[in-house]
Amino acid sequence: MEILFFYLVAGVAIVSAFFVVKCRNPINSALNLVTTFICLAVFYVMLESPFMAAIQIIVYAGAIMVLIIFVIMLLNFGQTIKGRYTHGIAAGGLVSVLLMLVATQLVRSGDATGTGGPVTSAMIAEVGHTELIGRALFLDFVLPFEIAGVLLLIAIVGALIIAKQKV
Amino acid sequence: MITVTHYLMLSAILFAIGTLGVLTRKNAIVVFMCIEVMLNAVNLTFIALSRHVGNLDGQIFVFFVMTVAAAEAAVGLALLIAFYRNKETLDVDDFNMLKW
Amino acid sequence: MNQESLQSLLPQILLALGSTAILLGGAWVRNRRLWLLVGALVAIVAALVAAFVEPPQIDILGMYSASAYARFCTVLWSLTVAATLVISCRYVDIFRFGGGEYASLMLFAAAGMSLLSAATSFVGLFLGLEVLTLALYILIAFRHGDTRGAEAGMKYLVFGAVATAFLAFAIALIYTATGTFNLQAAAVGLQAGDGLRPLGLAGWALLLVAVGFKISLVPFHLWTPDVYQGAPAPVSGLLATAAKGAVLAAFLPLLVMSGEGIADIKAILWLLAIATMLVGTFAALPQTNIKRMLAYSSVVHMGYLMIALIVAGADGSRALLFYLVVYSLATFGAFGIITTFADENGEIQDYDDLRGLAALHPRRSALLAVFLLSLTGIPPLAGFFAKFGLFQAAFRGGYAELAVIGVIASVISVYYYVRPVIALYAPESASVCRDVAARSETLLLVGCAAVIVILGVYPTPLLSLVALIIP
Repeated sequence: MEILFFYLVAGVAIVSAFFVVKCRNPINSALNLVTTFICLAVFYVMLESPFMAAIQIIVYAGAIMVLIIFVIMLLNFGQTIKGRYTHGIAAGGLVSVLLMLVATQLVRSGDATGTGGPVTSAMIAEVGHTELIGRALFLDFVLPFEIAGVLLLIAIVGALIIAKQKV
Repeated sequence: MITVTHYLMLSAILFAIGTLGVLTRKNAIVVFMCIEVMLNAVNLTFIALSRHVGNLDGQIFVFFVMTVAAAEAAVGLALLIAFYRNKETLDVDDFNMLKW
Repeated sequence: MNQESLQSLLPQILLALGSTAILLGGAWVRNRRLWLLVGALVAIVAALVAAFVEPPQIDILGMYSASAYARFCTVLWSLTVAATLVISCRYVDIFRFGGGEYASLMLFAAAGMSLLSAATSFVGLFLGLEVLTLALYILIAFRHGDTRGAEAGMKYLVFGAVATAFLAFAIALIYTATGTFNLQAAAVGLQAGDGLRPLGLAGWALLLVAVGFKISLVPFHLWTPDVYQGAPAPVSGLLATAAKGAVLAAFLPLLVMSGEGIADIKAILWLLAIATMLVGTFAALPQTNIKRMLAYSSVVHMGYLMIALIVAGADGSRALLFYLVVYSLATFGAFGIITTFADENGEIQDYDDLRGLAALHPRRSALLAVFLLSLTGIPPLAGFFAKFGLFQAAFRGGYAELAVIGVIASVISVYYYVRPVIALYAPESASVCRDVAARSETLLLVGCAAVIVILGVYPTPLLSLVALIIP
């Protein structure tokens, strides 16, 4: 039952990701991208990471997609684009098919490194996923967290500098 | 039974689809969306692994990937607007004032 | 995170805090030159702290290291950024940049570079690299209403974002194979011959793609000439020197420790090095724009540095660091001269703009000639000595074929480096008289040239310093 559900959602994710690449109209690409994001959020729930699923919806499907669609609307190229592809369609297709074959083949070649970390299903159910993430983020990974803050500051300043009209 | 291998295969496929888009599409905003697909494939790998290995390091890394994706999207879209203001096109092929 | 680790990160914290302070101050006091000089001061203080304040602990939370090597890198990048800020003083006035924003982004880039080359874990590496590139995206497109700048920024962003995705996927694959974020442990874990070794190797290969994008190795170099041409000259200078050096420096400690796991990666690096040297050289030959020529020149020099990475060991890393310093000085100087020649009509770019400038501006023309000749590797200058050390290390390490290709590329390079010099000293007089350079600019560039000459005659101090700090 669970495996059937996995294949169903995976199928939807792959098809919608493919349509992101294929669609003529950027708006259609964007909507397909949202579908992919939501499929991934479903997987995160299946992987017992509800907090990540929530973040996925809020940040990706919420913030980033709104930004992208806003720009599409603002620049007003909702209409179909004439030339869709660069000359490199054959080369690009070849490279990505090769990449996919190699990666899937390699993944099958062995079992991912050992289990046995402290975080089990029972622990997640008892403590709660959000609390676990919070502890890890603010105890073990405080320094990278601060650097991520700097990163966002740069992005805000940069977006303002680049997009504003006059100094 | 769904194993970690299933998830890794799926993310490899998604990453390859994203690469296809980046390599073949002309429109800069579609290229951005394809990059988001690639980054999401990475996120799926990390979360599946973190579940498999039983620690949270992978999920924390996903946070940082999301931060970077958001920051890059913000700056990238601002650049698109600045560029469009001057040039009125978004085809990667039209970035040809500077020749190879 | 305790007080010791904060103290060990003092230079980086100084850079980030100083940058934020300048950003805030810049909103109140709109004086471009003031903020640029304050920024340079902050960078110099950070460099001094990194050089002379002993950090209480070497390993910072398993993310970064405060080893002598990491601190040496911090000093180098901070000083480069300080010099870039000083040289931009007149430039920002001409093109009406927001001084506070410009200085603070430069300092953020410095913080990113020093974090990047100090990283000991993939998390630290990823974030350091992103801080750096994000600041660079903005700096490249800093000029308002300049289509070329916006286009260059766009190009760099598309390539950079793809590189980021590759880097993230590479980290994911390596993490799958070895189960660790630690750089050294991941490289060691690769040697264990279990079923996941191919996956780990695929991860390292993708990592090389990402790094190749960042330091523009052939075949990932396509963005380089366009971005260098479109970006403001001081930013191009930073891109060609510290930004590339920081990425290289981050991977040097990994390749220095040799082992079976690394051998396969070296085979790929070997191919990349040859392709980079040859393609870069032949692409540079027909260029008639000095910024594009310098871009291809930086591609070729990255190829030379790859030789040192492949040789590895104490020999290779000593040659690499020495070469990196000398190359950075000369490239920074060349872009600095282009910066000083800028006026309201834009920068000098084509060789035709350079024609006959020597008669009007003898000092700056002579300096540009010194920098270009050092890049070529003409004997009394430091460039010769650096190249000599590099190729000698290659011969001793058993990579004679790389050294031979390198020598051939250097010989051909005489053609494209001498062309702008010939244009400068052409007998006819220049069509436009350029502005007089500010005293601070001239002093700084004369200093660069003096260091190049001195290092060419008496390289021992830098060599012994480099030998001291090698990991």
